[in-house]
Amino acid sequence: MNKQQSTNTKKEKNFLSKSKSFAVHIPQRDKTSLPSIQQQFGTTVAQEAVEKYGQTLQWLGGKDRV
Amino acid sequence: MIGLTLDSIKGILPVLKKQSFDEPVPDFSEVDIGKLTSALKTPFLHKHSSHEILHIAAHIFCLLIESHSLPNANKRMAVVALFNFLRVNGYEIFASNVRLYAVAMAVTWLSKYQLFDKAIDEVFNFLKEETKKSPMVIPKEQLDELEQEFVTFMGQKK
Repeated sequence: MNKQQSTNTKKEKNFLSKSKSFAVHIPQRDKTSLPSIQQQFGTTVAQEAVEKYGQTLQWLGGKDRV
Repeated sequence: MIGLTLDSIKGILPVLKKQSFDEPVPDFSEVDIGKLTSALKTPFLHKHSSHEILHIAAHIFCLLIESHSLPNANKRMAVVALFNFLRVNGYEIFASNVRLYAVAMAVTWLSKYQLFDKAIDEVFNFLKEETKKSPMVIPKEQLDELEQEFVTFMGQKK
C-alpha cells in the first residue's frame, strides 16, 4: 500500500466512524421526544373505551351524578 | 402481569378531555402525583393481595376512585384505566353501560363508608362475570416495552 492509499484509508475510516456515531445518536434523540409506549397505549385504548362505554362516561360525568 | 404507569394516565386524560361532559376533565398537571402513584403501585405491593389479574384490576379501580388524585373525573379515569389494564393483560370487558356505571357508583358509596374491602370484592365479582380472556392482539415487542416501562415505574420511589 503506497502513502496516498494509506491516507485515503485513514480518511475513509474516520468518515465511517463519524457516520456510525450519527446513525446511533439521531434515533436515540428522536426516541426521547416521543411519548412513552404506556402513554401511546393509554391514548389508543382510551379511544376504544370512549367508543364502547361513552354512555357510562357521560353518566359519570353528569352534573346530576351522585 | 403488566400494570399501568403515570404515563398511561397521561395518555388517557386528553382523550377524556375531548369528550363533552357536564363536569370538565382536568389536565395531567392537576393530578396529585403522590396519590396517583400510590393507587397504581399499591395493588402490586400489598402483601395480602392476590396475584390474580382480576383481583389486581379490582384493587386498582377502587383505589383510583377512592384516592381522589384528580380534582374531578376520578371515576371516568378509573373506568378507562380498568379497560386499559384488562386489555394489556389479555382480558375484554363485556358489561353493559348500566352495570359498569352501577359498579363505579357502588365503589364510591362503599368507600365513603370505609367499606373498601367490600368495594374490591364487589368489583372482583363484577369482573369475574363480565370479562373473559381474549386473544392477545398486542405485538410481543410492544408488550415487552410496556412491561419494561412498568418495571421501571415500580422501581421508582413513591
